[in-house]
Amino acid sequence: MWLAQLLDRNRQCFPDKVALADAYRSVTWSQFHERVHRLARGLAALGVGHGDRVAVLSTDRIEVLETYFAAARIGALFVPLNHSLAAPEVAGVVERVRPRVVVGESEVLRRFPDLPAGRRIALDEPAFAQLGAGEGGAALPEVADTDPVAVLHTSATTGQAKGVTVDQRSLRSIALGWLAVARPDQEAVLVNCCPLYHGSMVVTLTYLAAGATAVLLPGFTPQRALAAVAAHRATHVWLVPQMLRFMLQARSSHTADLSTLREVLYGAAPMPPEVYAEAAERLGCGFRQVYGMTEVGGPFVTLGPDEHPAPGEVGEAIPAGRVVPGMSVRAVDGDGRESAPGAVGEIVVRGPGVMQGYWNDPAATAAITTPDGWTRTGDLGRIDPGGRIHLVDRSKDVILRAGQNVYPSEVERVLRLHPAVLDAAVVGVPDPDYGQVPKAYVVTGGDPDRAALQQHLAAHLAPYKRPRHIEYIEQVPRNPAGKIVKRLLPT
Amino acid sequence: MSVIRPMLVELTGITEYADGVGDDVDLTASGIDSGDLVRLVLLIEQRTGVEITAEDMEGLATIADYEAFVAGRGAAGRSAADPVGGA
Repeated sequence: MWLAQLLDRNRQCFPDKVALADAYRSVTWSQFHERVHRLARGLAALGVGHGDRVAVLSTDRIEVLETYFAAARIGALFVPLNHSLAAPEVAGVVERVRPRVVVGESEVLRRFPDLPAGRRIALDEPAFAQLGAGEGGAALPEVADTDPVAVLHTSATTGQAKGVTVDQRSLRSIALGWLAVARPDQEAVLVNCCPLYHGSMVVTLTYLAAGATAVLLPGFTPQRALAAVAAHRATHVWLVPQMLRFMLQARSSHTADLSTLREVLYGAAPMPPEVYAEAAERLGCGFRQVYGMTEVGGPFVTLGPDEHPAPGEVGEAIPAGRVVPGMSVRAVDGDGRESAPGAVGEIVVRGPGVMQGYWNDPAATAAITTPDGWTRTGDLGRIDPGGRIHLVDRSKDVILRAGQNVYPSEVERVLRLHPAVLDAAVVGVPDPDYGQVPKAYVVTGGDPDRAALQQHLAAHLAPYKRPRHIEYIEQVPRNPAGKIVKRLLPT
Repeated sequence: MSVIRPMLVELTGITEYADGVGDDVDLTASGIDSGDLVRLVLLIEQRTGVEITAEDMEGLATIADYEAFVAGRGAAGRSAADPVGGA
């Protein structure tokens, strides 16, 4: 009952303090607590019960977190869905998870008219606010910390998103470990620039656990983020490095009052040294790196402000940081044996934050788990004598685009679905704004219809997955086993 | 002469933004990446020198919106810099 405990404590301790603010309104801890419980009763009255799924399709706003907490309160699982995905991608997830209810913004729901869900509820219409109004004080069920609480979706090498099933024990473990090292308090005001449909939303839950205020943006723009920091006198901001680069480029960064910032939390992609140097100089606050993975409960490693290098002294990549209390990490070799001290190996994780497994996919769960119970991250790194993890590469074939994973195999599969495409290969290429972007090499039978191919990609892939560059070639280089040899692609 | 369309082509690499997307089409609905909309605003600021606030952005959805905004602010910027007018 971790999320219920969190709510109860903060209502007791900080009833009149703002818990959440979004583009439309704010609510205190007392109001948030009341609304969550009423909504929980309303969902129960609609027939949502223990183990049912409640999908959420929305930009970031208060109702999203109300729904997450309300579903959890009755033992249902909340299932955040990425509203920027293409219709077939969303439909595929909904088909597998089979939610009893989909809650979403009316405009977003209109974009997905054919979802196979039991019921659709627009969270921005009056009926949503009235849910549970007539249910009085009916008792809510007991929920165990080991009950699954959410199915969070990740991209996947197979080209089909995987549902990561986590329980309340996972959320509690990560939150308590994080609170012990990062020590946010109830005076903190966190501007959350990352979407709540992403696994990184655990960071925001963790700050809420401290009684902090979370400020939600209806989609990131540097102007919105800067305005939110100034308007709410924010002490913390949570973003990916590319967002920070955009904020520094915006003209309003020179006029907005950012003096209240104490920490910039960043993660999901490496911090470019020049961005860090400029931000450190102009903002004059601390920086905290967040290294996480949805499968292990979210942010399980952090590097605090005191351990960040001086802005002009970033010789190599900034370390990811140290594991949070309660979780364990080690580097292992190809046989799963712990690497020699300081040697590079795959980073594996164990502890109560780790997921229960992939939703209805025991084979995929087994594939990511070592025989002795460690979860494989797919990241290659070394652990220095001070316990700091230094990431050096990925063992999985993935493109890291502004903090979002794009799997080449998924994009290649969609390209090959087009009747004119005979073969395709996708790689990541450097990009100054996004870190990496997908580039496709495509073989066609004749003159390529570029516009038709763009339309095909738009119909099947979210915008961030679509190739930024497409080069038409005669043949995709493959080895005798048929595997693409990407190093032989034209540069 | 469009100011915005060449920027969209430059940012996205998609030539349809030169003439294949209508002036009144919501850019988000056109399938543009949200990051590219962010970059469009930053590019407009960089090339025209005008500041675009979060509040300004609430009213910008279509190519026509952006064109009108830039034209209006550009005119305002010129008259502020050159209050007596002139060639």
